[in-house]
Amino acid sequence: MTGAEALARAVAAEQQVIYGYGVAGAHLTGPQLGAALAALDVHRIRRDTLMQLLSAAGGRAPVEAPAYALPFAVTTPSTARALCALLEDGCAGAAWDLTAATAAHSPTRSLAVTWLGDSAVRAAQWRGRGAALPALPGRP
Amino acid sequence: MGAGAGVFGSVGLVGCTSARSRTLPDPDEAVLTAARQRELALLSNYAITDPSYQVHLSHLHALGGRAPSPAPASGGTTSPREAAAALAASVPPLQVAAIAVVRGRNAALLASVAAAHAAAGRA
Repeated sequence: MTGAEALARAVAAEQQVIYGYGVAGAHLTGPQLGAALAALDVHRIRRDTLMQLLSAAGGRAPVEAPAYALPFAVTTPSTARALCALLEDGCAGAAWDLTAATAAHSPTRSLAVTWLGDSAVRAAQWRGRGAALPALPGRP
Repeated sequence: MGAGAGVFGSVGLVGCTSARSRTLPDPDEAVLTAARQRELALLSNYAITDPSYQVHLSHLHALGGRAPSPAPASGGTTSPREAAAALAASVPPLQVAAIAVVRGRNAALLASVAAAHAAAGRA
């Protein structure tokens, strides 16, 4: 996977995550809704940054779909939290690919490494204390 | 990912080997060795029955290391607080290493181990 391909995949992942957080947020309240909204802001900024990096690399951003298929029905706070964790897992996967596809010491590598950590932490928080965590977040 | 599977890599291996295969040295070996040592130090903080021990053992294996022998029977002498502090302290150097290594796969692996440590400490 080239750097531009990894960037395009990361943009696509962020587009899906932004949609997914919108769906999940409708079923969350209180601090969890606050956490979802904060995550939504983070992912919007990340998407925009990735699109700029992709454009600079000569790539074209994938077209954002009006809606995305969800892996399961989101109808309760519990399923909403599970979706949020899954969304962050997907981001960690895209960050793994981006980390692997970029050059040592490059700004994009640095961002990808940070994003991988952020997504893993957020996924763990959505899963809750005591839940089993992936041993190696993002690994294919 | 893909860093070692390029056309030149394949041609080079064919051209350089006659009767036996030869492995090119990993340019990131020193960094990986340091990461393995860090993982071994973290392992010593947990009993073998602790789920965290198995997680760090999987990290060690992924980094190309071997389990310590003999394995600790009843766990380390560090307190949970000290173990948590050691875990948190391991994240920045792993991330720095992930940014610095040459091979993309090594970078992703180190970043993922750092992410796992960060997630375990913040969940």
